[in-house]
Amino acid sequence: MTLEIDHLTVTVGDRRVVDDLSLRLGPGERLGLIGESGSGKSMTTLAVLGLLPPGARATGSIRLDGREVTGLAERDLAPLRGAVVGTVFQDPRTSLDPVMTIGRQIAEPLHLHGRLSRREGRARAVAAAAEVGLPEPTTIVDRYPHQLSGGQRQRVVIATALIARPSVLLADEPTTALDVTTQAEVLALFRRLVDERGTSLLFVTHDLAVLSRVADDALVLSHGRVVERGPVTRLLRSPEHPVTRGLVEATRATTWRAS
Amino acid sequence: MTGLAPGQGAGQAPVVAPLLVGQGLTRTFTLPRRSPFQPGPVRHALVDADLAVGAGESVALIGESGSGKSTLVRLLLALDAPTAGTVTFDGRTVEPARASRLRWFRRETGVVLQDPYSSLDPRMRVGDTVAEPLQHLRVAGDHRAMVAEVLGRVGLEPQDAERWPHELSGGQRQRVALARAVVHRPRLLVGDEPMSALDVTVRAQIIDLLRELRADLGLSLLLVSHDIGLVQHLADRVSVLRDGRVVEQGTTDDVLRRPQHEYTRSLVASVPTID
Repeated sequence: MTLEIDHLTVTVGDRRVVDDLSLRLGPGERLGLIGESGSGKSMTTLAVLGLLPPGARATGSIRLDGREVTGLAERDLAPLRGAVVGTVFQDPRTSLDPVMTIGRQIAEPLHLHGRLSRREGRARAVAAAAEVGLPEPTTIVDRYPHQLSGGQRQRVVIATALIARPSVLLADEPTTALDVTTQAEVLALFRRLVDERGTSLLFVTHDLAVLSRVADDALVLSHGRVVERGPVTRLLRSPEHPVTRGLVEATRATTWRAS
Repeated sequence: MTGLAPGQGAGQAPVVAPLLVGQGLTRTFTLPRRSPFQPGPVRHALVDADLAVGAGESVALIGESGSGKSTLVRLLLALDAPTAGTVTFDGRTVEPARASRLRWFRRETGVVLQDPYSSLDPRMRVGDTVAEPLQHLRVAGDHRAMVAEVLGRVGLEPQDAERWPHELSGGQRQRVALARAVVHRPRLLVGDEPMSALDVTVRAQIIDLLRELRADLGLSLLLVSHDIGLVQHLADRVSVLRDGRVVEQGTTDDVLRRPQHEYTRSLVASVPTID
């Protein structure tokens, strides 16, 4: 298993924002975490990364590649980010450093995790840029984030997340800020990369329609608890829990229906 | 694109009196000079765009970032002056002018923006936020009663007038923003990406609410969105904008189900569905 969570509970003050959550993610599996704002999905990803906000406390067990991460000190946790778990968050404008070139940005996890010459880093960045479909990879690595479109910036974030070959990719609403045609391209990119490399994917979203394009199975979260889990196609076709049913109905009432 | 007024062209527009009409709207921006010897390059944000919203009609403007949607809406709301073209409301010319000369037009229109978090003043109680347009527009009558009435209409309680924005959920904030937009009984409601910050169950509720408001108040709706789902569920007609030009317009069903323009086709094909 690349990611195992057992009885994870996150409390903020006396509020349980994640309540006894367990999940297993095997190599190459694509799992969705779905729920509305406040359901605990983002707190779960932050707990996996050891990035919970001050005042939040986690109990239970989280294992990455078999290694327990709950309770690890920041200096032991930091090397795992990028190397074992890559992350893609919602807004590519805030997750990139505006004064660092695209190439440096993409190669940064390699520099953090090992000794690498500037030239080698650049070459790896060019290869990674090509792999995520960025145009003119040899010149784009010398540009800065503001010179790129939103979709291109999110591709940079994905290249950065994957360059150190992590076993898990954690994506939290990675396409929410994108235009619909760009969103479709980025979702296709996720599918392709996960397939090609056997990376496990944990995909967090509030959007069932988006989820159905990337994940095979999903957990439905409500008020910090897992209320239902199963294959995405089954959840859409015959949701059992009222929360899942509500989500499916609302999705049908608001999203595009081709027929 | 030829001028399409309601009731004209391709048998697509319903026969209703035009309320808001933009004709031949063009907006160019001169960019900073690159050389002291040459004028700065010109960017065409919008080129010869026509758009009409009939009385009681719901029209959507779709397109991606940079398509010119926001420019067009700013022109239609007289927040910006066109380089060429005209805007009329109920036959009367609308142009940017000082507030007192545009008050009649502001009374006829209400606006809801995308983000209910930043569009409400955190230091104002809900009731004051909703009453503010009544004061600015010098609307006669009992403002407290009007606020209570409109809060009920958007599914809030009269006592919610005493609450602060931070005490409200995202959906409640968007209801407050809607109440504020219609409290002065405009004939036209303009929504700029009014849903994109909301959870899906809240979106479904707000779509229902917009339908109700439309029916009860006889509101016309102009929706600006890249959300094809929202457009399908709320709009009678659609205009598709790309690179500052209207590339396709017609009934929602025609445009979305039988798109003629290649761009509209790719847009519709990109939308994730659960069917």
